[in-house]
Amino acid sequence: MVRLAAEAMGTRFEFVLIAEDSVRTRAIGEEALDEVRRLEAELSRFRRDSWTALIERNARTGPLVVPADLFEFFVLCDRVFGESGGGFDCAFRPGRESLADSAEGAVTGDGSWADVELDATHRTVQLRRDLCLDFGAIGKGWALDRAGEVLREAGIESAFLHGGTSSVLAIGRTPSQGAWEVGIPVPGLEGRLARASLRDCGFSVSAVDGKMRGENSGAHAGHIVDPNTGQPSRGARMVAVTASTAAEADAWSTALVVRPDLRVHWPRLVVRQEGQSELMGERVEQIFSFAAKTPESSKESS
Amino acid sequence: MSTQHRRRFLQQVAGGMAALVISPEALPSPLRPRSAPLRVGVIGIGKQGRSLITELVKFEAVQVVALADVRETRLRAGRRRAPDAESFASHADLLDAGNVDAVFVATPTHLHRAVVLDCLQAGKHVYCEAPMASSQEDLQAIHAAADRSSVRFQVGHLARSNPVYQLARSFLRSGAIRDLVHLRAQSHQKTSWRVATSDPADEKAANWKLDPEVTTGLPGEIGSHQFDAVHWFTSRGPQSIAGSGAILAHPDGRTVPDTVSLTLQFPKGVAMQYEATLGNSFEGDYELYSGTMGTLKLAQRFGWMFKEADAPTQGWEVYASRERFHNEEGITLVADATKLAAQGKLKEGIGLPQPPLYYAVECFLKSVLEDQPVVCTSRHGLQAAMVGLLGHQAVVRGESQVIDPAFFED
Repeated sequence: MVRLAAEAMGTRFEFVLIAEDSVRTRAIGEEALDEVRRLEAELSRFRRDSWTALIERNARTGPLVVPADLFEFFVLCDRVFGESGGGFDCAFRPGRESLADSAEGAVTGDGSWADVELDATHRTVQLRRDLCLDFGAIGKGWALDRAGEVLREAGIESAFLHGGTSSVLAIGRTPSQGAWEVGIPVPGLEGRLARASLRDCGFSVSAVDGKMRGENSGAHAGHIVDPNTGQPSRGARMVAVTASTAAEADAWSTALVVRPDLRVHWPRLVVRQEGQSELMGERVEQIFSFAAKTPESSKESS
Repeated sequence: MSTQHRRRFLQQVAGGMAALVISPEALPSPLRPRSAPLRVGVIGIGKQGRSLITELVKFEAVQVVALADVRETRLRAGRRRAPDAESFASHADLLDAGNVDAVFVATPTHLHRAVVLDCLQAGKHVYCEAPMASSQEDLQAIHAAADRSSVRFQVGHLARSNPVYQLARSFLRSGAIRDLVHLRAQSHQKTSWRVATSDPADEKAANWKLDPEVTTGLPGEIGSHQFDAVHWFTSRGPQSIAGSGAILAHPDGRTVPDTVSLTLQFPKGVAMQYEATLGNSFEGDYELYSGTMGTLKLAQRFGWMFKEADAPTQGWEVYASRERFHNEEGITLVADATKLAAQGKLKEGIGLPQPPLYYAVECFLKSVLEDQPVVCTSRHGLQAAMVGLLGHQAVVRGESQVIDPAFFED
């Protein structure tokens, strides 16, 4: 087993790779981490030389050609934005520091991903108005997927990757041939964990707790903002999602905090308020089961 | 005048004065539009080759039409960025297809000579990744071929085209830190430098950086970029290089040191310390120029000036952006200060608006398309690579290497 870590996208990425030859496996893992760093440089809204910043600066005046793999990423953002009815939205108007920090004022019609125009024929991006782009709700998952491609291509069949513990990509089985088990602390249920068994899938948890805002106006108002209202989301307190890719899980976990009513295909646990939860999804293939908190499960979820 | 307007006015004056006093070169103007794009090929689709493709996509005047690599997995990764490009298993096949005007060579260093000479022979403009070659013979051969060729040839050292470095150099050359007393550079990364292969037969070729027969080690593969920057800034080259190295972080059977330390002795008694390791990433890569009135620190996208207490103060400094480093305060060097100050965005201008590689590619394209001078010539590439090569030899042989001062004369 080889364990590697790197600081990227404002958090810590950690990879656990299961393979025989540790020297070779480390080299493969380093190449995968390089992919995460590359994507951080491309997507970061805090770097002046990122593609995100370049698009904000130059795609307002005309279409901007982007690399094919980056265009693929924007297509995914576009699709989830549409399917989630705007619950997942990577664009906001300038002047607000970020989606997460905008708690004041309704912003309906005030700049969203709907103002981003993609041209698949020429692989161009154009902004119909001045916009800020923030891929914080999908970037980690996208980076994990690309890192996973590097690993799979090099023959790694068993691995567990996470970015900041909230975005996960599980590859294959554990050394004991089981699924990768993760524990999810559920808000309001101290001492209990929801558990998810992961195998060849992405997984993500989003919760409104954390950077609390608007504390006077809502019991669980947090750092995730409903793009349709500009207010901190009160749809659900926490959502955990599995999907075929980490990027989709990442995007949908955010969207479903805002819009827990949306019916989508993959299983997810939605915790609406303290002590109440429900399993949702049209094709439930996996159960997020509640389990008593044990030392082992605590360790897994840390 | 309101307080806000006054502040903006002063910021504009500050930016203007900075431009006036230290003559910073603004960000380069964009390439002029063309009726037909320049058709380029990228040879060697490893990490650097893929980075080149990402930057090339940004230029409307360019079309990436061909990729070449011996490994299909790398070609596939390249096509993910440039799906319209044709793939070739060798540079010879790419040249035979005859569809490119210019090539970017990003193969392993020791293969540059064969590839570059073939490309020059075929009449293609060549951007060659740095270091230019891994042996003295190869360096001389490439330099001679580029020198007598009528096409453009640029080496991929990034400092000379980097706007922040250009600005910092103008500070240094105008005497802002006065007399040089010391030079220091480091490259700290945490990585094994290994490449995994699925076929053991590819192991040696893929891990050429760890192959003692062909590698130029940390001083050559990484240090040469920083040695070129120092040479360009100071117009001086080292007269002798002493070094030591060890395998401290990756005892995996390799024989090439993963940690090295060099002392380079420059004319007039100035010494440069160079450290590189693959076992620690603290503070990454940077160069320090220490003078009697201040210190310049350059770290790719960023640059700072730290003044001595007795250094004269200039008016624009009052409104300059500053950053705190423990007990020191650095004035941030902003490449397009005048323009940003006019927009009231001076603080937003910290850090380059494009990666350093972009500016090197842009300079090459301007030399090809607009007849601009080449910023990093084969002569510069030869000088920087030789310092790296001799630094590596000083480490592995445990002997000081002496350089004839005439080698650095232009």
